[in-house]
Amino acid sequence: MNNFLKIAFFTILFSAGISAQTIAVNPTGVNVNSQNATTVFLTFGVIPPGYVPAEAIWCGELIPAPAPAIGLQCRPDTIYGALPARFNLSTPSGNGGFTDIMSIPPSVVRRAYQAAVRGANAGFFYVRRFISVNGDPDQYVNVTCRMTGGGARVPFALINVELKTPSGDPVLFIKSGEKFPEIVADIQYNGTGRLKGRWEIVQPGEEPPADEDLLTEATLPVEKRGSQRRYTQISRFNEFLQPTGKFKLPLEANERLKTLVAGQYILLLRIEATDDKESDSNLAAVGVGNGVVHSGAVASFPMPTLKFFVVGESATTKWADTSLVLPQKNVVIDVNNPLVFTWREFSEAKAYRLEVLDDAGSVILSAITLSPITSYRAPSWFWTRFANKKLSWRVAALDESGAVISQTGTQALSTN
Amino acid sequence: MTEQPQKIFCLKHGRRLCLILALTAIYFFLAVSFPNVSAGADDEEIKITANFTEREITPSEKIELTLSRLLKADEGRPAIFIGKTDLSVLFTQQDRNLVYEPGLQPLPVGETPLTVYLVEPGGNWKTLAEFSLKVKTRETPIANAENANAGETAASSESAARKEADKWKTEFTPNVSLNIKGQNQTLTFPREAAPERNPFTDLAGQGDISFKIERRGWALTNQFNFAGSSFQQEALRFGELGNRAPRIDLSSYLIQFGKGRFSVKLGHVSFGSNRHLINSFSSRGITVTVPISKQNEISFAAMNGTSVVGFDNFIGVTRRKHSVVSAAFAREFIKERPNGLRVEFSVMRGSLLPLSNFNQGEVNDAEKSLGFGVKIIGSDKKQRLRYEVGFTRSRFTNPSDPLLEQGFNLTEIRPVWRTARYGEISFDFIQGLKLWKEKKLKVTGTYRHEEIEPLYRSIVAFAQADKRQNQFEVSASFGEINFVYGNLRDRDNLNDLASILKTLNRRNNMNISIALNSFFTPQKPKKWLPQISYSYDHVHQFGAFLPVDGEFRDLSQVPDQHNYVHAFNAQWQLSSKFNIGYRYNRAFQDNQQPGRERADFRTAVNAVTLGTKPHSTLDLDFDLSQEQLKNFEQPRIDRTFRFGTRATWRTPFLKNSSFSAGFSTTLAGDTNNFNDTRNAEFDAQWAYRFSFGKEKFKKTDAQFFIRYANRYGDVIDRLFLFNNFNKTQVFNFGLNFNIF
Repeated sequence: MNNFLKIAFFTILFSAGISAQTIAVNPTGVNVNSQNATTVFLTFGVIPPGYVPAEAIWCGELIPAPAPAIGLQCRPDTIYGALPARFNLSTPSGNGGFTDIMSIPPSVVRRAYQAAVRGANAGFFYVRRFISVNGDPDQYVNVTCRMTGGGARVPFALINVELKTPSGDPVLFIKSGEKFPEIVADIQYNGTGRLKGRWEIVQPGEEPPADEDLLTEATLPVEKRGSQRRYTQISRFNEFLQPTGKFKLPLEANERLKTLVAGQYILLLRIEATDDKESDSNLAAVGVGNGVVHSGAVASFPMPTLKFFVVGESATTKWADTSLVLPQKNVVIDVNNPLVFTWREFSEAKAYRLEVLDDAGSVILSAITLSPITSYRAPSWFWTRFANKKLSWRVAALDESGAVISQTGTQALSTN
Repeated sequence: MTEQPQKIFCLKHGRRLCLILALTAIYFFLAVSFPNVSAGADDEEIKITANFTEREITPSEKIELTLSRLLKADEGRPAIFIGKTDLSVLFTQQDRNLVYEPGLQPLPVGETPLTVYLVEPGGNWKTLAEFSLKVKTRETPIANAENANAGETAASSESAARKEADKWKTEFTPNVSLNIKGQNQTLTFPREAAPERNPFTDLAGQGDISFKIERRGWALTNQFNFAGSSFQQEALRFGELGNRAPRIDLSSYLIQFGKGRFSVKLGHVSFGSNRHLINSFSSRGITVTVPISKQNEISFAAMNGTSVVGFDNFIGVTRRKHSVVSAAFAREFIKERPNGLRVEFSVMRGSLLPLSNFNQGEVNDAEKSLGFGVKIIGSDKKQRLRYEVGFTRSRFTNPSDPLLEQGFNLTEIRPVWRTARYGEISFDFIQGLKLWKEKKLKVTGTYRHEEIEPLYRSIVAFAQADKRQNQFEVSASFGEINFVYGNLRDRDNLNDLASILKTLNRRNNMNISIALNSFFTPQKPKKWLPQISYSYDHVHQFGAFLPVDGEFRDLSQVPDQHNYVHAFNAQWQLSSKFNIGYRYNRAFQDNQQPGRERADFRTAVNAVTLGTKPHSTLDLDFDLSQEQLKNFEQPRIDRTFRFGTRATWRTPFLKNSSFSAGFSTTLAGDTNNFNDTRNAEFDAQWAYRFSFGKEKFKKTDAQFFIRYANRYGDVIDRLFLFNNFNKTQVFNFGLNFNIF
């Protein structure tokens, strides 16, 4: 006799003598990953007055709860684990509803898998107990978990998110004006669906976000979505994630981050809820609302943040920004006079490379000078060859191996 | 006709006088015709010879130009161009020789003109000689032998190098920044959303110290980074320790000591190169790498189980139950060709508490594993054939975890040894085939195989266990065109357990990118043509059967899903001041299992970005995007529209100041009008930088900023009957000091 029949038999047998179960759950059954974690958005309801949620546990078999308790409870010798407090994001919601984020740790499915290898039923159950402060009978409500590979038909959920820096350093120190390092969110997930959201930054002087602000939108009850605190948005993303379990989300819009003032920043990954059939929770089915809550991209932990410090402008940046002296910007050059280039000294430079570029950005003339010489007189034939071209120039500071330490931007040569 | 008068003249005045006059006439004739020769040997025309005219040289080879005579001071100076570069200052004059020893600027590979000019005192440039410089790509033993002739020079430079190496070299670079920042007014709606502290002023700071000592090739480098804040919630470890978190804390450090390949590292380190055992695992700890010979290397690591910050657990290995110990041995079988045949053997033992990395969120457990693995990588001499194979065994278990047990007796978890293996082989079928102009074709085929047994797990290398996959891939490049096609097949439930779903996966993907602007005209790219890329990805995932005794009730619970994704990108760089980007992404999810035939989705994203620099001090950029999601089952269409712009104006009002402002708005809603979301944000910031002091360590840079931000959000849901409206206005200011 399979579990279903057992449950049905015992339910009928004991239901005659006990009160009817009033708390339901939706979804009632889900496919889960047999080798890794799984997270699912659940709605319980209607929670009668005086009832509060108690523990939630996973087990291989159900048995009727001893009277006067209502529902099916876990068989004690088949318990795989209890929902750890760190993943317990359950919260009252809506009209007598209760939102629960079931987050199955890998060790729970490992126990279930080993039981299945030994011949037990591979399905297992998540049982949430509700207790009454008024002395009414406890109610047990269960959700069925079916083991799969974690791909299609499993609720779309994030199970591991890490913000990675190129150096691996947990906190970044960036010189003002330097190129922002390439940051990637390394994401492991179940199911398939759209990953959409925003990269935001908390700027110096702003109140940092609370843990609830960092949860993915789908982790919150529907009425709390949209109430999370927002910060300065630097880019938006919307990517389709195939049912393959891994994705790398790069931070784009690095150019925009170049203008940040010095101070402490926090980079935030904000994930919005998406429409995913497997992650739906039907409030109407449990009597606490009118429709279906879409909960694609649920996660049982706050999204990680990356703290970074923008520190004072580096000498390199400063030199690159302000070092071109002659010919002066926007001053018309007389082509009948010798053309002399002058720039400011950079103390760490061993040599400089001057480059003159045409309007296509191609170098038409370059020259090397050795430090501390910071000027160059162009050949007498310069204007004869290049007078009719739109030209610009720049200087690179070189170290002893010829590597570029810093480089100025290009500046136009205006001729009459 | 001329002889007659001369004869007459000579007869008349005597032969000697006649000879003198004739010689004088010849002298004047020559003097007029060849003025430079007239000055004698010092005034002869300069001729230049080169030591590279009849052979190819290497990029680092010394070249010499020999002048037929020395230039006089009033003649001017020589100038030498190689290609378009004036390298005169890098030529040293040794007597009549102009010598160039490439160091700072290697010689350009290929054939390049070398022109010698005479720069006259008046500034006029006159061409003296032109040569063709032929530089080959690689050094050859012959060239080295030729260079080795200068034995004395080498000996003296060796002695100088030895003296240089004997010197103690030290570098000390401190950096300290202090930030005073605050919020002086916040207006919020609803009032309950107002921040607890309003107004406030905080002091924060960060510092880094780097110190380096070098002698005789040995180097000791240290880098320490600190951060602090007067506001407790900004403390680095507030998330972990709450109010016990120190306000000034260590964010990271690295101490390195070594010479050549030998190294000892302490601090934030990274270790491992075994895909399924330990692979570039980064954390705090110690690593040691010891070369045994030129071909063998042993490395060792002891690290904390997750990446941490703070002064506690300074070395990273003080928590035994949350640490990783690993060792690796590597041998290069072909010493002159690294990775020609390399074998690596790794072992790892570790234990983790249910903690996450500093920048990580995850569903985790208490874990313990012990494992070993071997990896072989190799290639043929021409790098045409490349391969890598790996085999790993790991024994994994979950130790007792009170947070999971919560007083219940959990079923036992049996520790099990499991295997993971992979192999990858690539072959360049075509290499460097010239088909059109100078563009070369390269075609590579790759086959990959990976199998990870059920329940396989290593605590520091993520792998989806219970999976076997095979993949074929063809990649090709032709000039600026790149193309990839891949076909992957995988399956899970390798133990064929009837109660667990078996899923099969078929994936076909293709990617092509081409720089249209430069492909046809590489010398002069066409600005109006974009760089484009297109990718297609199709995944078909389906269940093999309806499991029994696994709580599966019907076929709607067994997936049969097709996902099609198309992505197109185009980038135009119209000038250095103007660029445009366009992105299109479309995905279609088609569920075909009974009961889910209508549960399909189609999404499309269109996005345009535009960046411009209307003035040298002003940058403007704009983002525009439109997203659409269609749910076929309900039916319902959700749309999101976003517009954002940002302006940055450098040096407005005052030198060294900058002003930036941004505005963005997002509108979202569905066609049934159940849901409406509106968000808008505006911020403006002015910053001014100034400094005092001039010398190093006495110099202080400072920056003042003031910022205003206004954010607004409204979510109206007519199905669930709520309206979340919020509004915030914030004024922030700050003063930063960058000391040192």
